[in-house]
Amino acid sequence: MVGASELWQQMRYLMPEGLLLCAGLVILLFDLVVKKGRSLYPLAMLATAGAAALALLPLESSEPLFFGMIQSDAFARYFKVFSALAGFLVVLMSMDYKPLPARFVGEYLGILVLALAAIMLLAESTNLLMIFLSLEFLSLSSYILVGFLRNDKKSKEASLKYFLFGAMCTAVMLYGFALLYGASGSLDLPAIKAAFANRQNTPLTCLAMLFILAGFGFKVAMVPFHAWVPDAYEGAPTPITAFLSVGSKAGGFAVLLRVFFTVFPGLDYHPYWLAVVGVLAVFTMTVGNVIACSQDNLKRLLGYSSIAQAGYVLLGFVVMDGRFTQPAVMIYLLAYLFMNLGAFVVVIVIANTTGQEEIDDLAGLSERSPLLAWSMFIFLLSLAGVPPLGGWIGKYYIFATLVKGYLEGLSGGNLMLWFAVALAVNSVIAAYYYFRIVKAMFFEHARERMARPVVGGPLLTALYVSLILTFAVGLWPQPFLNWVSRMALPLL
Amino acid sequence: MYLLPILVFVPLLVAVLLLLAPRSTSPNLVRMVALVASGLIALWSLGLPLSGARVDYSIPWFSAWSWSVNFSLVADGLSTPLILLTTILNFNCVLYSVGVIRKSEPAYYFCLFLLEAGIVGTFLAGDLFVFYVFWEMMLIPLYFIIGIWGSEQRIYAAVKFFLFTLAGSIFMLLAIIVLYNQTGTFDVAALAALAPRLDPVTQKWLFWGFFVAFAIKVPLFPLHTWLPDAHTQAPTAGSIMLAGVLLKTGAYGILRFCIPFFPAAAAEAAGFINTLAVIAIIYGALLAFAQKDLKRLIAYSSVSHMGFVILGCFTWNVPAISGGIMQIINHGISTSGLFLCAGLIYDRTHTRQMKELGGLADPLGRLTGFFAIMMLSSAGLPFLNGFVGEFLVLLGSWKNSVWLTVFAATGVVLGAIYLLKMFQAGMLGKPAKSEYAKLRDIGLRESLALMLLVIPAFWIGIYPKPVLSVVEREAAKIEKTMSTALPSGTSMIEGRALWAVADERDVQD
Repeated sequence: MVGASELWQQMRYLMPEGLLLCAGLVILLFDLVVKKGRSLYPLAMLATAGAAALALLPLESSEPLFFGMIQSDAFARYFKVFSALAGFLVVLMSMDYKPLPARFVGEYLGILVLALAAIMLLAESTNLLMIFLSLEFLSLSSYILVGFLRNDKKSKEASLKYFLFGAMCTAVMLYGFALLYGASGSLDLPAIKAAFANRQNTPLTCLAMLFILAGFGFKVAMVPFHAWVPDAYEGAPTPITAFLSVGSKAGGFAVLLRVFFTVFPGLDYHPYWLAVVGVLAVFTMTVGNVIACSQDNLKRLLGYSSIAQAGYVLLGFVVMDGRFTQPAVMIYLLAYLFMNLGAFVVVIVIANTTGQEEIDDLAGLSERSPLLAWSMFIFLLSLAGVPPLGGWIGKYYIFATLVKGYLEGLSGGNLMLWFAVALAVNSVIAAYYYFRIVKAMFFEHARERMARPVVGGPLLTALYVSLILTFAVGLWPQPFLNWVSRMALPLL
Repeated sequence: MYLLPILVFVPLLVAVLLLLAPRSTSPNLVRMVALVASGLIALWSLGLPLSGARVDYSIPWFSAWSWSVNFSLVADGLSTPLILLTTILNFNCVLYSVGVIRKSEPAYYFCLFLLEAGIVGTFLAGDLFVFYVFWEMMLIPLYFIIGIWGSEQRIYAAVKFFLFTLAGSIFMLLAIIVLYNQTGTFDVAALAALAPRLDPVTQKWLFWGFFVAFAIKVPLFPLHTWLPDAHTQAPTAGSIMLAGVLLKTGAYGILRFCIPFFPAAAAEAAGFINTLAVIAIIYGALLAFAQKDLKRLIAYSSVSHMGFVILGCFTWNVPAISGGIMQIINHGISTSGLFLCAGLIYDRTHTRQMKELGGLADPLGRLTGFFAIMMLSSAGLPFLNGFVGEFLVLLGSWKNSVWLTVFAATGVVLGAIYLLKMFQAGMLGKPAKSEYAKLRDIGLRESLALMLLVIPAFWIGIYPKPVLSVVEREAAKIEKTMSTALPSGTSMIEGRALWAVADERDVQD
């Protein structure tokens, strides 16, 4: 047995999420006692920035912690930095988000900070029970945050839909966990892997994995578990939409990567699995892109675009080669963090100015605010994967991974080339709707009475940070590439 | 050593400066900066070795997990003339635009300089990854130039242009990645040695992956449909850059990558591609003849003239290939000249419809003179540049296939017909409107812009040797690749085999 002192020793690996948990509770308490909403922003910023700094400390352990519940390795640390950074930017974005009622800011920030801690826990769980708990922690916080605009019908509807859908997916996932437990006799991922290594697979394990995929697929917005996305994205407060599209999605990918890399290589269904995931990925991006083409609401459009982006990332999984898959997925997510958050910053400014978020509200933005128009343009280009921006580096590595898998004759090789072709075709479709926005901003003229958007300090900071990093990942990718390759999961 | 990077980064720097200029900057200052900068860049590009000697520059960019990319730039006999063309045409565009463009000028010149950087980078890239980056980079500014400063249908044209070219290039990206994984390098020089050794099936797929992207840019029939819209709707400077150099990046890509990398696949496809090229020549000419819009006519004439380029490039002998390269340069000069004249006419009459023009020779004497020269150069009149390229292509092609040549030659005749018709309808006859009599002829600035095109047109037409010797050396290299890659007479197209037999007979005699 592990002694109490040793457990205390292990606590130091949990400093970032510990800080966030404490900060979340403090914010909630403070809000209860003092009732000064806006003064809590600095506290939340401090907490997220502090968590990012703590996560950057090279505190890693390849040993399982807390009775095998958690593994705080480099991979987990990467997602801790990621979620703290995303959290920091989302807090900045929330500061100037007008529809947010000032007296609820405390609750809002408290829950947001707790949700960030949940992502961190999710990325480091190595036990099915722990995965379930952190996933539910994240989901429950997200449901509340989505429905935070209490006087807005859309927000309430979004929250309810999100909740119902999420509850169902989680139930299915839990069923999968139960089946997996029955088949392997353990809840620990390494033990499950060991159990499968010497045994024939049965349809039971296959079914279990499929059910589990439903739960994770819900988090990353994979087709057919994407139906909540457009409504939740449209109804949620915009900073929360940004958080869902980046933070919560990254959490889903983190746990997916970990489960894939720990359990799947033991299954001899493995090539079929990859084909299933690959086909789902192709569906995901195609559905996302095709439906996005006809959207007029910016948040819905970006919602469908984020479904498509999830499809691109999922394709990275298809090549289960440890050297490339993880770095490719991780660099893509990093670029996606900046470009997608950046795009949402612009949406917030627009919504603050005109009160709604339609593409038409961007008309003539290049005349009203060149800075916003050009920044949005850069983010969209990056999302479309045009060089030399961050999104392009990400897409390039996904492509490269697929081609490499094909040429090296990895299992399911021929399919991979077709997946790459599907990705190429999808990139063109995506360019069409991203450029619909560009068209509105640059080629159309502003309607009368359209005010010039005013960008306040916090939003401007978020905008510049996103902009600079979108460029940096594309123009000088070396440090980022080094970083993600160091942070990848150890090969098993 | 920094000759090449300066050529790419100075336009980029000027572009960024113009974009970041505060709103209160006076338009005069912006124009001045643009004019001086583009002039200096053009002068700097004259520092390239005009003999076509190879210069290169390379630094590592990034590398991870067995993929490494060098930022490498190379200028040689194939790229140097095209870079000169780019920088000079850019100066030309700025020179023309300072008098015309009055709408968000900093952004306009930003686009022009970004376009210049993209095109020069495309011609200079010595690494496929870098090539792709620049290849995509030049899309964006032209999209804006068409979409913001174009005519009525500009948005449709801009989107169509963008999606067409993007669709082509994304498959090229796939081919580039496959190629890298097969050979382990992005370096163009190394690939020219390694890629031809790949197995024939892979070569074939990769060849088409590259070729489709380039064929869309050239554009080759039946992938040309974006071109007339883009040209017609683009502002004059956009048309000049589009016709003058952007189409050439496609032809350059074919000569630089498609043929040297995959000679076996190229030989196999040559018959098919040459047939398409001849169809393009005739089809483009016929459609040009049917046009009522001045710029649309010139756009279709581009389809026809670029057909000669493709025909030359895919006929494996030195005269044809050098003719193809000459035609690339010549078309850049003549068609930009025609578009410039069309733009100048439009600025004065505010119409592009030929039936609403006519009788402009009287009020616009100088412009008519220049227009006539450009028109004749485009029609391939001897002693003007257009003649050299078309003549060489037909000469080389004759040795390959008599029938293709006969059909291609009708393109020259048709070219003369529709160009003369255009000139007649536009400049001669009775004025369509009485107020045309009061039109102001072109001034010094506009004449200077046209002179920059007329001088090389005459120079290449009368004394092509300096350019031709550079071009011929490049053509000989390509011809050598083709003949070493393929034992003569085996898998080559029939016509080439005959030509080889004829050669042998000559030697025996």
